[in-house]
Amino acid sequence: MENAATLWSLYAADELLIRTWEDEAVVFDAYSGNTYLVDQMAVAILQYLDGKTTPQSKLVSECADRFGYEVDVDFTAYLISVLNRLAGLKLLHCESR
Amino acid sequence: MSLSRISNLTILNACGDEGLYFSVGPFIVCLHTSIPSVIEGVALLYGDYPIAETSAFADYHITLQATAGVRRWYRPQVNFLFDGYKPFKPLPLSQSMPSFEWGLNWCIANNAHQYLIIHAAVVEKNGRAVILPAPPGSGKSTLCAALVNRGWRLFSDELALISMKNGNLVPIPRPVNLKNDSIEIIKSFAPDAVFSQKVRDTNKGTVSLMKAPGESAQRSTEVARAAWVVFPSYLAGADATLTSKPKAQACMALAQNAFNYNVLGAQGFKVLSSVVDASDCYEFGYSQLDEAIEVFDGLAASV
Repeated sequence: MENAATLWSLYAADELLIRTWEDEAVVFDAYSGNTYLVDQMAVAILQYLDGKTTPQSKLVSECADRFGYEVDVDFTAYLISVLNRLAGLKLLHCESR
Repeated sequence: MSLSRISNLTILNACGDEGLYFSVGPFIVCLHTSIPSVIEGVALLYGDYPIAETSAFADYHITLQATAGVRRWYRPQVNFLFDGYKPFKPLPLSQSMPSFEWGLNWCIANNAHQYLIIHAAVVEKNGRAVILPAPPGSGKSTLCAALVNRGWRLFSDELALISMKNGNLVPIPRPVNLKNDSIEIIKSFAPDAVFSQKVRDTNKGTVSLMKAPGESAQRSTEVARAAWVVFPSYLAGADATLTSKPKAQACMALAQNAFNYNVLGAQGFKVLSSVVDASDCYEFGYSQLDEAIEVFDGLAASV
């Protein structure tokens, strides 16, 4: 899941309800019936991927841009950890090209 | 007409014949039993509740029945039946009245899906309600009992009923289930409160039911909006402290305390998040009931 050719998309499009309060959010996944507490970065990823499949490299630059971070090794590693966590919750799906 | 207007004998006859129909909040219960402690308990604790017509639709047909067989002579037990079905193993006969309370909770939590049901106490003042979700042992029922003896209206000490239609909190002001040390604490805090006999050696220890204040029972059709979600915890020796809780975390904690959130799906999430949206959310630690009341009265006066 760490190369630039990795594509990310929502696991079950149109099934997510997101409610944000301050810097945290609660996500309800109607597909599984599960509810998750997530941070702002996770919300940004879920919202960005709504309706589109996106290469990981583009996702990294979009998220860095949105939150005003430099795209460096640390940020990329952090974002990949968030992506992997969301994939582990079955909120995201990834495929390698 | 309320139950207090009829005699125990009439209640006994009704429970044995067509069943005793009475309203508890938004529900009608039909009770069949000949167990004296249940008849006495219902007469003592549900006196302020309206009797319903025997021809009325009943939400819950409940039977409390002493078990038959040889065992009844040396270890008498009670069966709880809901619509003729036994959802639980029998309990000692001495636990018949608590068994009615626990069983009715179960019936509501598993069937009343027109509500989002959260395991929480709810009290109200000036039209605004506090939801007090908490696990057993947190002092939720003790705090609830104290509040309703100091001017707050009891909605429930166990089940927060949130209408799926409009998000209103709907009262179901039944007796407050107190356990162990809490019984004597509330007896001295509210000497005029009415209590059932103590029942010892239950799964929860010694229990006693405190009658809901008459006004709470009489106003059981008056709904309210949630204004606060407060997660209480009894902390020995601690000052009363109210700490803001992030709403997203409060929402998760409410979902975890809900009985039927998973059944209600996306609509349940929408109702739950709208309640959190409209509420200020707090953690509350306390050890002294008088201090706790002061904090809650402060909340009620704050807007």
